[in-house]
Amino acid sequence: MRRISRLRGPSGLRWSTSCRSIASLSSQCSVAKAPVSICSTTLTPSPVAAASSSRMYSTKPDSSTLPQSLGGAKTHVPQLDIEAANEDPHSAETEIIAQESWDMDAGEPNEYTSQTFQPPPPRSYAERTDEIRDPSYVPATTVEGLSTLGGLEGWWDRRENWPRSSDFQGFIEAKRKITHPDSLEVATRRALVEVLVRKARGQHLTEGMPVGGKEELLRALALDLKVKENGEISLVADDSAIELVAKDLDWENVLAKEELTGKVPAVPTLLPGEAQSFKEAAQWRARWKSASLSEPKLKFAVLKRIFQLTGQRVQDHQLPGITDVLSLLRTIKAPPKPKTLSQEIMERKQDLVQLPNVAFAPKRVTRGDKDIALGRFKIIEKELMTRDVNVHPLSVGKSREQKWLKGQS
Amino acid sequence: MAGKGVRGLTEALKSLNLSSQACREAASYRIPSTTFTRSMATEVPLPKLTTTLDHTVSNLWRPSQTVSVTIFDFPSYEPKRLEEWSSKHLHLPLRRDILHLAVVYEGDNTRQGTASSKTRFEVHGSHRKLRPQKGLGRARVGTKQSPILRGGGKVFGPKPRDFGTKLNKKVYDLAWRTALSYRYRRGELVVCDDGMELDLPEEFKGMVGELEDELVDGFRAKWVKQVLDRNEWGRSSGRSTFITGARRNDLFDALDLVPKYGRALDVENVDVKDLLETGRLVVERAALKELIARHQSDLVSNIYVHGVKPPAPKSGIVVVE
Repeated sequence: MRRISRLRGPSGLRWSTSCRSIASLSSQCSVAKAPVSICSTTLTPSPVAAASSSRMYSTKPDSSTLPQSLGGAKTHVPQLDIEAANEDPHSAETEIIAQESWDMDAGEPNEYTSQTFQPPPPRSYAERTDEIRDPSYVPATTVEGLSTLGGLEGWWDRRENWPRSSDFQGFIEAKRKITHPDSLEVATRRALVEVLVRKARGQHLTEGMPVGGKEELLRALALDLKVKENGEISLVADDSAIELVAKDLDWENVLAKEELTGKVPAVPTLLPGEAQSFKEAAQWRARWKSASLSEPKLKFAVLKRIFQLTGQRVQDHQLPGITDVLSLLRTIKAPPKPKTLSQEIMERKQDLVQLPNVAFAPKRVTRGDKDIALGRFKIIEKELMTRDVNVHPLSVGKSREQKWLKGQS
Repeated sequence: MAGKGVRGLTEALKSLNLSSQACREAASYRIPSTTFTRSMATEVPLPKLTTTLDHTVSNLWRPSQTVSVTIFDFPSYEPKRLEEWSSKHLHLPLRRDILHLAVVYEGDNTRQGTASSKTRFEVHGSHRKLRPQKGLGRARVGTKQSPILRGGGKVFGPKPRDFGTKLNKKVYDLAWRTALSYRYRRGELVVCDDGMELDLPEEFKGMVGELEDELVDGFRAKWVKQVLDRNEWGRSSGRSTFITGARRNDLFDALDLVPKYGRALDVENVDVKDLLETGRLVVERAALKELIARHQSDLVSNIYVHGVKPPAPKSGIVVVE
């Protein structure tokens, strides 16, 4: 005996009572106009598809527009369409896999093949019981053994429908905010060098810069810095080295390279251990930290780059206090304020916790906690269990009103 | 007697003369430490001050008249420019009392005040005496609208009224800028470029017509959550209030779907209380200018001088671009 499971009726569907063929039913549905299928010709993703969500910040000097309130004639245009060639090489594969898994109705070519977000396939409908021609069909009477298909709930939470490459990518390149002092110092050095390279080349300082891989990072860090008595800072490197770093910071060059070799994962700064050994090996001149940042443009550009690389943002009210690299490092290295008092005590006041006559609890010690500590609660629990009362020492029973609202007597 | 009076007057004049000096000038009136001698032998001698005070006007410390404000791109959070805003707009000292006044004033004025109950004269029904005054062995009663009876009128019940209170405009305006300054000083004021709108991916925009509402909303909610989490504006960072010049449909609709991540308001719907509520304010530049322009009556005089109204402090001057 064959049991044919029926597709569950989707929530948004208007069931037709008239007996029509399945084909005609499916053609009524608006989604069915674009059935998902696989077709070899449609597999090449269009280059524009993934670009929109990859880099949303400015990449060209002329892309900055002044707002209307400043008197600028141009209105704000989101810079989305710049890197057409910025395509993740893996996205095509993901797409194929995603499509194959949803290849339920091979027919018309797919409209969505060039998209990274995968919409659900068109609805298909189970045959009506009175139209089934299979003589061995017996309708199921219990739910057991029937397959569950599920609805659209959590559709976008599945990675095959929302690939990682389509995630929102903002200006901050670091996956998490970098807090380790060594990594921050390396990032600061890198930012300073790169801004100075742009300055030496006479380019726009404050425009967004590409991050690049480890190679680019090390190339920038290899340049030496020299600080004069008055705090003025300059690069000490031959022109070819500067030229190389300048190329790494040139969007056109970077995009062309990405097109050829594929996107290299961005390395904003070194890992803490690496950073420390690098610092020791590099033997930077001690005075580089006394470099002056009094020039507003230079300061803004350096802070912007640090924000991009590490996620460490110097607040506006802290800006006047940043006059040189040392004060900048002091600001960004400062650990964040603890959110709770207990956090503060646990992290910074261990001497308090270790006092023999002081007991520390992150939360209030309640009557129930005392009972548990003494072992009294076991007895209470037992007694409560025999009386069929709520067992947790401090739990409050569900309100009766809840029952009434649900209509349960 | 007369001599005493004259002496008193001179003394008074002297003190007036001293007190009328500015602080910087007062330094010269101080007794030099070298000529000052201690009366008691047990006291420690005063340290000899060798520093000389420079009284020239150029060397005096004055608080900065402007503060720096970074303008960000939205939603990428890319710093675009550095601007200078007047410290009278964004760097006022915290006055909790004034903020309290403003919040209470707003609360009073938002009270609906429509609670209403019926007195015995408004309760429907006949005013017939319920039962005879005497002879039944029961308490004497009049009409059934009596407040002592069930279903009767309410004696001192609520009646519709206006709970609104008053606050001087200059105080209220000061509260607005104090609230903004408080946010600024805590690093909780993010000013974004004009045209603040949530950019949804192009692929999604192409799909919208085909997708069911559930999927469209699900997408928007996930996208806005990603944006907020990436920029540390979301739920784990204590929500954010987004203030724009006008309603921006994508941003507002998306945030309506994830109320635990933030809320969006347009300029018309913002109060001092809203400025103080969530983890941070993400404000459109034009909206911030508008808010300040509307609330600076204590800075801008209404008196015209030579036919011109005195100018307001200038804000939003581009320093670095």
